[in-house]
This record gives sequence, structure tokens and C-alpha cells, in this order.
Amino acid sequence: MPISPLSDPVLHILLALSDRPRHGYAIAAEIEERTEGVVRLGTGTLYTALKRLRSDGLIEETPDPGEQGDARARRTYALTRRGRSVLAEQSERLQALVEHAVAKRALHGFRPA
Amino acid sequence: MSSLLYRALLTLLPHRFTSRDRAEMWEAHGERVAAAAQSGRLALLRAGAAEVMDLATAVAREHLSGSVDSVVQDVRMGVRSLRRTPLVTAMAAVSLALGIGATTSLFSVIDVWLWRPLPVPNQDRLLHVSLADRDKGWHGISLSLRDFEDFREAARTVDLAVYRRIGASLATQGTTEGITTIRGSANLLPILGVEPALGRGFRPDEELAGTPGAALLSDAFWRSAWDADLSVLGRSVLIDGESYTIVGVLPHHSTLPNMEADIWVPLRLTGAETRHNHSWQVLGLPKAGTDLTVVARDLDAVASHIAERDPDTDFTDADVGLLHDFYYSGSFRQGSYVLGLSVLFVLLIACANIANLLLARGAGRTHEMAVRSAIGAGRLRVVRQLLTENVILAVLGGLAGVGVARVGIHLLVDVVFPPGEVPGLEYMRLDGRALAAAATMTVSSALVFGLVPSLRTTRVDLRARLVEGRGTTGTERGGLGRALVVGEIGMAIALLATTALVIRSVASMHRVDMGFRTDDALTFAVSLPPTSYPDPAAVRTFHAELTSRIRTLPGVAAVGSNTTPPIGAFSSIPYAVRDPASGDVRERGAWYRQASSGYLRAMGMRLAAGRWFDDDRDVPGGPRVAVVSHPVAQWDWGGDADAVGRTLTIAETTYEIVGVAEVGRMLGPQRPSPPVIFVSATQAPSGSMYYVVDAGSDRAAAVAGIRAQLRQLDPLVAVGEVSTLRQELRESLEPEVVVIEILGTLGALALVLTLVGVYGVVAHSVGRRTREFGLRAALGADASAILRLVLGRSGRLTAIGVTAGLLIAVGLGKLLSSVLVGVRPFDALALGATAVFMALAAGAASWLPARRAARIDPARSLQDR
Repeated sequence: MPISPLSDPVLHILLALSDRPRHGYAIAAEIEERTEGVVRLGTGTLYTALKRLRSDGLIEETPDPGEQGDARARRTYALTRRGRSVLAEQSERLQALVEHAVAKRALHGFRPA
Repeated sequence: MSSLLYRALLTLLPHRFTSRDRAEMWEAHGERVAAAAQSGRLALLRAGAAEVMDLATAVAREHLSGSVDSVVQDVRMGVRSLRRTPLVTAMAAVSLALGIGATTSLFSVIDVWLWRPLPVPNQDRLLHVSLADRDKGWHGISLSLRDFEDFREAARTVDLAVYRRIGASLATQGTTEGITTIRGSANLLPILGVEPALGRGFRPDEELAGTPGAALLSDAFWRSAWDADLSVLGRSVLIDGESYTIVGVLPHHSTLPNMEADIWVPLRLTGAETRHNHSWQVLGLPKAGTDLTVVARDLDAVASHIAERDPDTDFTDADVGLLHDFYYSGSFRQGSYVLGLSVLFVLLIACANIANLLLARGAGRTHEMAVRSAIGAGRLRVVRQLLTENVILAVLGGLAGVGVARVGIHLLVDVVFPPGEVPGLEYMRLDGRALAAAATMTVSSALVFGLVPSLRTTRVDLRARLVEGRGTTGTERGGLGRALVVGEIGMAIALLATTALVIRSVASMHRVDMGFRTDDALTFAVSLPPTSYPDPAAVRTFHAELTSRIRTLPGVAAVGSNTTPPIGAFSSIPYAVRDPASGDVRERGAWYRQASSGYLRAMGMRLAAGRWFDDDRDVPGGPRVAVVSHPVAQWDWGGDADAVGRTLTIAETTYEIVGVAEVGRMLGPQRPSPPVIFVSATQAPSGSMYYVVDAGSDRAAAVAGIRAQLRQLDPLVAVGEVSTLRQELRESLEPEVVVIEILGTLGALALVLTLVGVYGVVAHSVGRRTREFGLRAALGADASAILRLVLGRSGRLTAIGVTAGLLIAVGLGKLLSSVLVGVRPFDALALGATAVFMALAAGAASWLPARRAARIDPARSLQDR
């Protein structure tokens, strides 16, 4: 099923989970660190997005090795196979878009060779 | 603070967010805030605010996307479920289409009569002015030109315009034709707010006789007679022998009801206008900052001032009202209420039918609903699902209903009522207002017919149903279904009985003895141009010659003429009578008409005493004579015979009363005759006369003969529209006839829908009780016993419905009482006939399923489980 373009926060969440599983707050922290504070997800956006990604089957809950057996522990999420392929698809879409922008010289101070 | 808000917002997340989700969010929020706190107080505040804003947006987004999703889901499920029962869906949609179609068509009629603005720009501010004498109880007297000039000069708070629709003859390139003109003051167009589509309007100086005449063409006449020729401006035409230059063309649809005319021309004031020609309509446009009450006070003061100053006046007060109320009042308003209620009944009957169908369908779906609520759908969710289905059904019916309304409006405007017969219908169309009304009815009917069955279907203990298996909700459905059918029968009978009442009333109006002939005698107006007939002698000679020429036409038995239409609007002038005993002079008002010597015979009126005019005796210059109507003789002299030989005075001329006439109901069948004074047209000729010709059987030949004689006599004078006395009577009954024809259609529609409903309920109940009837048959009940059982049951429903309906019908009849003639709201014949008819029809509708019940094969019905 083709996926319609995803929003920036959702793409960042998928990116944050692309190298390893993380729990909710760790995802927000990773995004903030990676983007040097430019993207800062509020917890409302983060958790509602996580809920939707889970029901759409792009991420799944995974056992956290550190806090096993505790039902009240924070849930850790990992990309599913489908989530990984959607992330790749969406990144390629964005890459194509950027290439078009470059070809049209639409970027500030950017002069291709 | 921000954390408190955050916590509160968390509770607002949709239910699919579990307590664990919320706990994790709360924890993450804590970490975020703690991290920010390390960078200082400002950072903490900022982070807290950002978090609250973010969560608030997220909550809103979650609710919104959730509800959109579930509505789409509801609609999809609804369409699927309606397609599973195509027959029920189609029947419901057709019922609704008829109901909504009828309601929308009638909405358009009522809209024109009650609510729609008149089609001129200044319509919301325009007033209608008429004269009155409140002490004598006279109202609605039209103004004379002299009155108008006085009012125009003295009124401070309002600008006044005057107009009159007059037949005229138009001569162009050697041919003469009869046309209709509006003669009006120069400011008539600006007061209406209408701008000419081409050319210019009238200039104030063009109102005066002796200036070059200016004429404006109506859009329709410009197109039909001049082929929409743009170079028509500046051309000359002869209207009633006077030359006019065409200066402009009016825009399409720019006139008030009954103001349609071919050509508009300005007044030609000579300064010698009389006080007594009460035939002009006056419109008023309040000046800025004034309103109806201020204008009414102003004009009343003007009226009494004129009355004091000029003893010749025949009024003391002025009546001012909104123009819309002047056009559509009285019977139109009552007709609207009755039609509105009736069509609402039709829609409710359609809804009751659909509710019944849905109940039957709902009974079959209890199992489905039980499953749904077992897997977690709340009652509200299930009701919403059912309502969605009803809305889809309603939209289907509404769309089809708009199609029905299109046809209905076409029928009303073009077929049932030809143009011009009923004021306002020419403005009727399926426009945004009618469509909005249709949409409102669609949605509200969905709620009416949908909500009760929906609640009913989901109220039963669904879990018990599920355990029990596929049970039916027979008894519950039966009760509500029967109640709905009783309601339907009640409403249908109310409608039919009201129709019967109105039909009886109109029938009795046709039977009312008008006091003069209402057969196919011809009537038409002949209007002499004052320029070619300046003095009374010329006018007298013309009418005498025309009368004698018409009398010699083959088949013509009688010819007469007088100054007002046979059934016309009342206007009155004062006359004075000296009391024989005390010598005091008393003043009263009466309808003044000049009549020819042949008028009494041509109209078929009776003489109560004395004689009618006689051209050999009542010669010009001789003693002036008058004939009075019965009420005048009664009032002033106490008897018909006593009046003959007495005198009365009108405007300082004394007349000898030579006869007393029974004039009949000259204002229409509903109203008694007003006091009338006839004077001899030979002694007091008038240029405008209404002729009445008893032309025998060959009317077409007579009309052609009359036109030919007139052409020979004076080619510049044309005969206007020729109608018959029968048509005149019919036209005076317009609102009642409209109400009858529409009510009749609605009654038929209500009857059909109700019979479908009766059939449906009886058939359903027979189907449900198949086993019981089988058992009865097996136990020895014969077919006729079962037939009696079923018919008896539907008979009881019919009886209750009929009783309720008759009560409503009496109420509706009371609402109509002022337009009913010769029938009381409780009319045993009308009500009784309707009740018997409905009982028979309902019996017939129950007969088919009852016979099926009687023929049930016990063996098969008992095996079949």
C-alpha cells in the first residue's frame, strides 16, 4: 500500500528508531540532539504519533533488556520491516524533491557545479 | 501551573489512549520539564507553555481525525446496509420524495404569498395608501387624481406616486390594437426603485397635459411587438389618439403583481381633475428617518385637513399599510396557513410510513445490533450508525423530492393556473430558498422518522436477544407501528375533510344567487381618448351609436354599459338626503355608477320598485334621475316603494329617484351588496364604459362583429380583453379555487401514502402471526373467522384515526371559516362522507393481507419454523 507523505515529526521519529530501539522520551532526546535543538517534539505530539505509528504497523513494542518483567516500565519501540521500508521510500521521495530544487537553483546560496 | 493544565489535558485524550499511555506521557513531560529547569526559570516557563500548547493541539487533532474517520465508516456501513434491503430503501425513498416534493412546491407558493419580497428594489419600504372614513366604517377607497395631488403637496414624511392600469388603443402604421397601459406619476419608477433597462424614465414636466408625451415599453412588449429593436427609442406611437415618443424600455420582471402592462405613460394633468374618480392606486416611500407609524399619522392629518377644507371630499382619514400586506392579505394568508399545515401533514404521513418500514427492518436487525454492542459499540454509537443510514435515505429522498418539486412547480405555474390568474404565481420557481427549505425538511424528516425506530431498536435488551437467538421484537414494533398508522389516518382524514369543506364552500359560492346573470354574456371595456372626445355630447353620441350597432348584430339580445366592472372593487362617494320629517340633511356614502338604459336588462338585474332609465324620458338637460339599490332605499326612506319620487344630492346636483334596483352581490359571492346609486349615462356620459352584451350562443362571431363595428366607428378606439360574466365570477373566487385545487392534490397524495401505510402494517402483522393463524385454522377456525379477526383489528385502528382526524378537521375548518361560504366548519355531510370514504379505503387496503391470512395452510405454516 502506498503511503502518503509523512509529516516531519513522524519522519524524525522513524529516523530516531532507525539505528536502535528507544523508549518514548529517549526518541525526543535523540531528535533534539541530532538536530542541535532545531526540532523539539512536545510530548503530546510524540506520544500521539507513536500511537498512530503503532496502529499503522510502522513501529512495534520491543522488550527492553534493562527493565525486564516490570509491567509499569516504559515501553521501548523498534521499527518494523514495513516501517523501515516506508522510511526508505519517504527519504527517497524527499531526496528526489531536493534534487529538483537544486536543479532549479531554488536553494539559498547554493550553486551546483 | 503548566503541569496541572497538562494533567487536565491528558484526561481529554480519546479513549483509545490507555492509562498506561497517559502515565508514560506524564512521566516524559516530567523529564522534559526537569531538563528545562536546569537552564533557568525562563526556560522552564517556556518549556511548560510549549508542552501545554503541543498537547492541546494533539488532543484536538486526535478527536478530529477520529470523528472524521468514524463518520466515513458510518456512511460506508450505512450504504452497504441500505443496499441489502433494496425494496425497503426504494419504498422509503419514494415516499419521502413525494412528501418533500409536495412540501417544496407548496413552500414556493406560500413563500410568494407570505415571505418573499416583491420584485422591485424598494419593496421592503414601499407603503400602500388608501382613503377611509372610519366613522362610517369605510376602508380601502382608492384615490382620485385630485386627492393624489393634494396629498403629494401636503405630505411631509413620504414621497407619493400614483398609478392606474387602463386599457387603451395603440395605433402604429395603420393598425390599431388594444393594449394595457400603466398611467403613472413621473416619479413612479424612482419610487419603485426601478431603472429603465434602455433609455430614460419620465421627467416631472411630462406629467402635464400639453407637453410632448413620453412612453416606456415593457420588456415583454418590446420583445413581442418590436422584436427587441434597439432603435425603438425616439419613435412615435398614437395611444388613444395622442402622440407619444418612446423614451425607454423597462427591465424584465420589474413590476408589482397586477401591474403588468404593455406601455407605461405619465399622467396628463390638466389642473381640472375631479375629486370623485376614485380609481388610482397610491404608493409611498417613507423619507429617511421615518417609518410606517409616522407616515400614517402624517397622511391622516393631511386627509382630515383636506376634508375640512373641501366639502366635496368623500373621506376623512387615510389608511397606510405595507405594500406586501396589501397584495397578499386575508384569504391568501389563511390559505397559506391551511396549505402549510396540510402539506406538513403529507410530509408527516410520509415520515410515519418510513418510520414503519424502518421499524420492520429494525426488527430484523436486532441480532446485528446485539452483536455490535457485544463487541463494544456503545448505545450512542449504534444509534449514530442507524441515524447515519436514515440521513443517507433522507438525502436520497430529498434529491428525488427536488425533482418532484420541479415537476410540481411547473404544473402549478403553467398547467393548473395559467399566467396572470393568481397574483404572485408568476414569481414562483425552484430557487435557493426552495432548495434550502427542501434541505431543512430532508434533515428534519430524517430525525423524525429515524430517531424513534433507532432508539426502539437499540433499547431492547440486546444481550438477552443474543442468547435467545434470532428473536423478533414483534409486540414492541406492533404497538408503535399501529400508533403511527392511527396518526397517518388521522392526518389524512383531516386533510380530506378540509378539502371536502372547501369544495362544498366553493360549490355553494357558485350557487349563491348573485342577483345578476353569471352566464356567458360578454363583457369588455371601451375607453375613449379624451383628446378626440373632449365634450360630453361627443362621448354620449359615440356610446349611443356603438350600443345600437351592437344590438343589430345577429344573436345579440341585450346591450348595456356602466362605469365599473361587473364584479369590482368598491369605492364610494357621499350623497345627501333631506329628512322629510325634520328637514335635517343627512350625508351617507354610496357607490356611484353611470349606467346606460340597457344595463339593467343586459345584466339580468331585478327592479324592486319604480322604473329603470329610459332614453326617451331621461334626456340630456332634462331633470336628473337616479336609481338606487335596495339598501339605500331601506336606510333613507324605510322601503323600496317609499324611495321612488324622493330626491338626493350628489356634489350639488339633485336627482330624482325613479326606481329601486336589486343589484346583487357586486363585490363577489362572499360579500353583501354595498349601497349603489346609478345615474343615467345619457345625462352624465363617461368616456370609459364597461359593456355587457347578451350575445346568444355564437360568442366568437359576436366578438368579431363588435370589433368590426368599433373599427368602423373609430379605428383609434380598441376593444380591450373580452371576457364573460362567468369568467369574472371565477376570477373573483381565485384564492379559494387555488386552495381547493392544491388541497385536492395533497389530499389524494395523503390518501395514497396512508393506504400504503395501512397495507404495510396489516401485511406485516399477518406475516408475523402466520403461525398463530395456522394454529387457529388447525383448531377449526374457518377462513371467514380469521378474515374477521384481521379486518376487525385494522377497523379499530381506522376508527381511532378517523375520530382524531375529524377533530383536527373541525379545527382547520375554523381557521378557514372566514373564506368558507354557506358551510360551517362542522359540516356533517363533508365530514361524514370523508369518514365513510376513509373507512372503505382502509378496509380495502387491509383486505388483501387479510385474505392471505385466511388462506394460510395450517400444515405448512406449522412446519415452517
